[in-house]
Amino acid sequence: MKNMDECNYYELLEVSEETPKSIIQEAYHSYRTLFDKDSIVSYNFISEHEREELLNRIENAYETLMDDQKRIDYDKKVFNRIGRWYHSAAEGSMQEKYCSAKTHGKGTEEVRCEDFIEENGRISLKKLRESMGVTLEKISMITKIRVPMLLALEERDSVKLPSAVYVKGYLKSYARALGLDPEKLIQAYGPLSLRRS
Amino acid sequence: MTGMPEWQSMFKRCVIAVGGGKGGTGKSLLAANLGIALAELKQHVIVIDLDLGGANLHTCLGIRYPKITLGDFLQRKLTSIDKALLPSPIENLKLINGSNDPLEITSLPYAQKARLISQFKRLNADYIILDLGAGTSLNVLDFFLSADYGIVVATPEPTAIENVSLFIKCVMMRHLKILLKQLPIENLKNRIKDPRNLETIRTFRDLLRLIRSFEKETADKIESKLENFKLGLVMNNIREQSETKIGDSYKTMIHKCMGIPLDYLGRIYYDDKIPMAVKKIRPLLLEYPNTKAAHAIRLIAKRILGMDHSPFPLEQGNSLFDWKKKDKDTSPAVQEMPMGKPQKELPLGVRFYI
Ligand SMILES: Nc1ncnc2c1ncn2[C@@H]1O[C@H](COP(=O)(O)OP(=O)(O)O)[C@@H](O)[C@H]1O
Ligand SMILES: [Mg+2]
Repeated sequence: MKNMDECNYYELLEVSEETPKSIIQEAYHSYRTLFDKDSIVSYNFISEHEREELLNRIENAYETLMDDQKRIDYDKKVFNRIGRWYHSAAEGSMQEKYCSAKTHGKGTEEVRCEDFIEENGRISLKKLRESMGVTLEKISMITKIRVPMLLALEERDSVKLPSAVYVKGYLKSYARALGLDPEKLIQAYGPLSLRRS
Repeated sequence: MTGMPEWQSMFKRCVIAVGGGKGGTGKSLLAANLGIALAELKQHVIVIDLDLGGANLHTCLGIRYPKITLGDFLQRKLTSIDKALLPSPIENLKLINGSNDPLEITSLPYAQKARLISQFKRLNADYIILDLGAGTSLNVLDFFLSADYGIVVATPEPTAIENVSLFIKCVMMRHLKILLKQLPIENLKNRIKDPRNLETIRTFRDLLRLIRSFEKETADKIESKLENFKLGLVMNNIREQSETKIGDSYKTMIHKCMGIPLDYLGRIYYDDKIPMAVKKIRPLLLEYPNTKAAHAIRLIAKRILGMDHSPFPLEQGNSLFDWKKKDKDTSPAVQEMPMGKPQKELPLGVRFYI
């Protein structure tokens, strides 16, 4: 058994080279919940520092394995080849499952983060989401982030929100659920946490 | 086999320890009723109350005033441990009652512990179930590690989970320490004390990594032995549907963070009937045989029975606590080391060594 910091991204999420994105998505969510600050299971099992490091790695693993180009590069680096997932993905069998909220929304025209920037220079996630006709419950279902946490995220409730690492992760999931570019959304969100950076 | 009389080898002699850190999580309840459930499955079972100072297993089994106790064996009033066996209301199930004598329980010297372990491992039964006390004292850890299978009991509360986590960490550290006595490594203490290492060694995995960096072969040997110890988890006092997932998640976490497999043996719902049975001094499985909790415990028993074929490392003589040999050995591989004062500021892993 390897130490977790010696695992590659596949080992970290306990998926294989062939695993499609939908399964990676599930694995990612279950591990993130497991090591979440509020998780009773990992309560005091690992230190705060280890927890942040671990979540960061899980986040990186997820980002890499969910992005075709990044995954190809990663596979080449680690295994010297492209995983079999690539060929089945090319057939479009399980494409974009995680973006399903977008198709449930009203408009099909492109939604741009910039259009929802408020006077204070920050994006209103609520207006953005509502413009797409997507409910918080729907996002919660896709991202497995609890509704109160999503609300806190939309309201930038610094008391309820965890530290910046987590907020960043939540924002990424939020963006993906809506089919938006995570980086753009994070930028438009502004400072991630008042408590810690 | 090794010339053992046939009637003796008829028994499986599988030792199962029930522990897990916190008090009141249901260890005694499980030990007693698991014993009954296994006996109902036609197994010969002996349950031993090793909660030194908190003995109450007899009450869980419906026995009010046991006359003979483990204390009689420890004080050598009894020549062998089978003389301490008491009958129970259940066919095929016997009890060794715990000792509540304040004088003999506070500390159990190494020789006594060795005699006790070597004797209960040889008892004639299919399953020998040890009910352990709370906490992470050396006695508790050593009894736990002397078993072929260790069960930890937790409830879905942060305090119980925290204690079970600490318990598992202590068990692994103690295990590693014992293995290191059998496979000594030169200069290990100094290397651990090296300030550059002190910073990074927090878990038994870190320590193993340090050892691997200069003694790869020994590290491999130790690792495979560590992974050999089988652990199971029981979640008790479940009240809500949402709490049922905790067991699976906990299993995943232990596997991920410590690299050890943990069987999730089952969950027991909170049930008013349990305190009611306790008040009547009647075992749950006899008094309320059709409650959900009773069924859950029977299911756990079946899982354990089903494991027989492979997981139990029953190669005797190769076991971790081979006390029989060590009794005569002049340089015991497993010897009680004075722990010294706990050094609070050091991480758990290191505290065990210095
Ligand atoms: N599933 C349960 N539902 C209701 N009460 C329980 C349950 N499990 C344990 N208890 C109660 O908790 C008390 C403590 O249990 P016990 O087995 O003595 O714990 P331990 O041996 O771990 O200290 C028991 O008296 C019993 O009444
Ligand atoms: Mg008890």
